Amino acid sequence: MGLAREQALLARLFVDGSYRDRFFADPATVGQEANLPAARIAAIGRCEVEIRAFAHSLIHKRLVEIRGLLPATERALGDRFGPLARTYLEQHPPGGLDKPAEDARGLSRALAALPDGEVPPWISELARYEGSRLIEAAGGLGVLPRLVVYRFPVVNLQRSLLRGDPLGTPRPRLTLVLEPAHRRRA
Amino acid sequence: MGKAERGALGQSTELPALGSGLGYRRVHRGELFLDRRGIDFLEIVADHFMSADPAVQSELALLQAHFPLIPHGLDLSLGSAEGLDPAYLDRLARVVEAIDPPWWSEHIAYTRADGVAIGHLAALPLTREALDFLCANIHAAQRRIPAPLILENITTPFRLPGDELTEPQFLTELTERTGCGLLLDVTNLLVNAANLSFDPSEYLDQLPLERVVQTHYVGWARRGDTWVDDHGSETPEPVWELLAEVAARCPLRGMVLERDRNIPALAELRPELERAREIGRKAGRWD
Repeated sequence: MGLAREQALLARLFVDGSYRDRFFADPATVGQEANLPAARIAAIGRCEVEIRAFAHSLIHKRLVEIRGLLPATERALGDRFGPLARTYLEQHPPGGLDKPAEDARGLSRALAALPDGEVPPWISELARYEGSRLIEAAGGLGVLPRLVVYRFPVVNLQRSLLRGDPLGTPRPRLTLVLEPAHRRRA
Repeated sequence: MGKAERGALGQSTELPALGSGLGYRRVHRGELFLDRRGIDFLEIVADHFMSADPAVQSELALLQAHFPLIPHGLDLSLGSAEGLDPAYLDRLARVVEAIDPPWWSEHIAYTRADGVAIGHLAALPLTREALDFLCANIHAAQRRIPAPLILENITTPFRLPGDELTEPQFLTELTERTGCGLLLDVTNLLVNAANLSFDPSEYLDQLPLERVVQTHYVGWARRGDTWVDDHGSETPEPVWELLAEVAARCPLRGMVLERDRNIPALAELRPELERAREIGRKAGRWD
């Protein structure tokens, strides 16, 4: 079962940035827990550049996919979108059946949960709204509409951003949105 | 070889010639139904249709009513040494069964290990051990899904030391032991040839060409010193040239344009679909 242990180690190196840093700082010691022959650990340790490049390409791929799914949020955040999304992706391995949609929903929730001041509140609300519109592909049993309250006019904000209209500083306005809510299997 | 084995290919010429197909992306849905001309079939990502959500299933039924569909799996992780995820295999099987396609496809790769999802296709070592695990997993998939399975070559920017076989040797033995066909991604082949410094024609000479059923093609990108199959641009000339060589030498039944980034309007992709169809027609693969 050497291959199973090697795949487990490589998978962790590909997606877990902090483990990757610890491993390449001292492959022989950190790699012991992988229960692989020392020579194999050493061989993997010598591929640091390649493995780091592959890991970064995975983050880049996920980032590109998220950009396409949260276009208004990206435009609202401008240059901050990339670093915030990259930080989120580094800390959250991919998951779910539709991984890009899962990433985008996760990032939108994370942005919405940021403390006040990290990003303007209207962008938090916009991220929450845009994330909620993504098609649920993770096994819902049906669609039940529900009313959701936003503190900003998120529908108009999204529309304006996608059109490229100048926004100024959006003002709060309570907005009700009918959204699909997916029941999950028990 | 006959068609007795579940999931095995038989003679690929027994399969229907589907022609020039498109990797289905939801952004094209409206345009697709406004003008279906020039699209002989659709390759759908099976993972996107595993949900029981009525909207998703309605979309699948709508596509199926208007196009031949080929399911393409992303996350079965056929190369996982820990075996297949039975729940995922069940979901995949339900999609394939609903479509009843002439064949379905997956990658020669692993995407998860020890509870960690990689979110991408990771290359297997070209070893006897990896081949054994891969064949065992494929046999398990074939027992669950009777439609013929074809296997796609992936890109990898590097290889760990310790390979025992060349990739063509690995693929030859793999197809002999499993009866599977090959989905030859010509863009992936050229990207690997550039990154790993090998001659794509020599690679092709060593492949079991009679097993190649379908191709993928699309553009690529360069990031730093590395070529990547980013699926984000128009198909470049070297890919067309290799596609023509593959069409001339392999009993192809379909070609699929696999665009995933910078997706333009469908009208902009139609010339590529037509060029692929013409390549197959000239090679005598379809009318």
